[in-house]
Amino acid sequence: MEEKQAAVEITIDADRCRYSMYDPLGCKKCLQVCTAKVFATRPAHKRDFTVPLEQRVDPTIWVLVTPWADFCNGCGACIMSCPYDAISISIDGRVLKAQ
Amino acid sequence: MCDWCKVHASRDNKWYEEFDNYLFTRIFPDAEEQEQKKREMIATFAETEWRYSEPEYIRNVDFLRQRASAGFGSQIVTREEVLRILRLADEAAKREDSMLVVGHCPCRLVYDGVRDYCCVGFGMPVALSMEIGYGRLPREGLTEFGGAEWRELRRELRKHAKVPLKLEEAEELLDDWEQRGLWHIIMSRGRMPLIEAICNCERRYCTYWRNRVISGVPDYVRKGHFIARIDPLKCTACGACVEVCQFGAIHHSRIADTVDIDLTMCFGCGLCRTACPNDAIELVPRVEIPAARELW
Repeated sequence: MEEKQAAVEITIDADRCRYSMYDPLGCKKCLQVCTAKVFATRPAHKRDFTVPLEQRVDPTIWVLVTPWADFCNGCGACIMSCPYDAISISIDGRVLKAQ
Repeated sequence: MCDWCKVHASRDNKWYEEFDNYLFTRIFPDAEEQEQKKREMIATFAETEWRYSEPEYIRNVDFLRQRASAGFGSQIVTREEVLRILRLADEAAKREDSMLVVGHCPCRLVYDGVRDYCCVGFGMPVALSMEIGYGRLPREGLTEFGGAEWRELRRELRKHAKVPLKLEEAEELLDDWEQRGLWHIIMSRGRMPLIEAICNCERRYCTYWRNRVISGVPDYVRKGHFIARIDPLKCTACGACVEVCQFGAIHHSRIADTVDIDLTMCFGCGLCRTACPNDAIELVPRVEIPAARELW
């Protein structure tokens, strides 16, 4: 009986999240508080230098992603520290989120 | 779920919560088999220290693998579990004319030349070794070496290989061992699933740990059923846990001034939780953490 490696799903509510890489007022609490380092940040679009300069997308638009979600230990610190209640985590169907 | 629990325990129980796993006569009901196992035990008593320093045994990978499949193994347990295990072991010892004893660690004796009384033994091996060593079964008359004056008597105790342990003193001793930063493992010495001892030791001296590293068989020291989890909101990054972790699972990041626990390296001994002055570390069941649940 092989137990299925249960999916950990970390959902970031894009409407609530005020994350911003370049805005000095932008929030990066979850990135800093997580000890398992499940969050990461990257440009929203892949940069393409073959495109003419005026048609390129804004390189300062970055997004928050969770490439290491399966390493989440479920401590809930990101949820506690998120001022906008944007994060919710589901481990084995158990949902952790801000009340 | 742990392999041993699947095989050696009834549903939803851990294998060391199963009372039958403490009873020699329950695991080996056949009289002939009992005699054979007893002869094996007696041979083991005689040559343990010698074997622990003999390269033919401790450096021989094939030999170690074969021993692991013959039923040698141990598993890390936490402080609370040790107390529960001792209660079960005490109950079982009463039934089998045995007792709880504290003996010196053979590994420390071999590798350090020190008699350190940190191994709790119980069950049939103890009854048998008492019978051989003292010419009688452990009864009254030996208990005078126990008692609250443990520390003062330690010098006196060196003369004796094993000292009776009262269940009431166990917690005090356990605290002592926790303060010294010693892990707790339950051992089965070739008679899996019979649980025969609780060792309180360090990675540096543990022969079973060496066996695990050299042979690559995780059964020698299995990870526990719990895993440590740090609460970054309570943690002050003081580094107390980093010092006590014997498995190198805890890392203090100097650039971020945070502490993190590596899920793949944590054995769940709980020493970091004891050392933490801020209660920032809790032990959670391994099955609840997807990244760690298949690691033993």
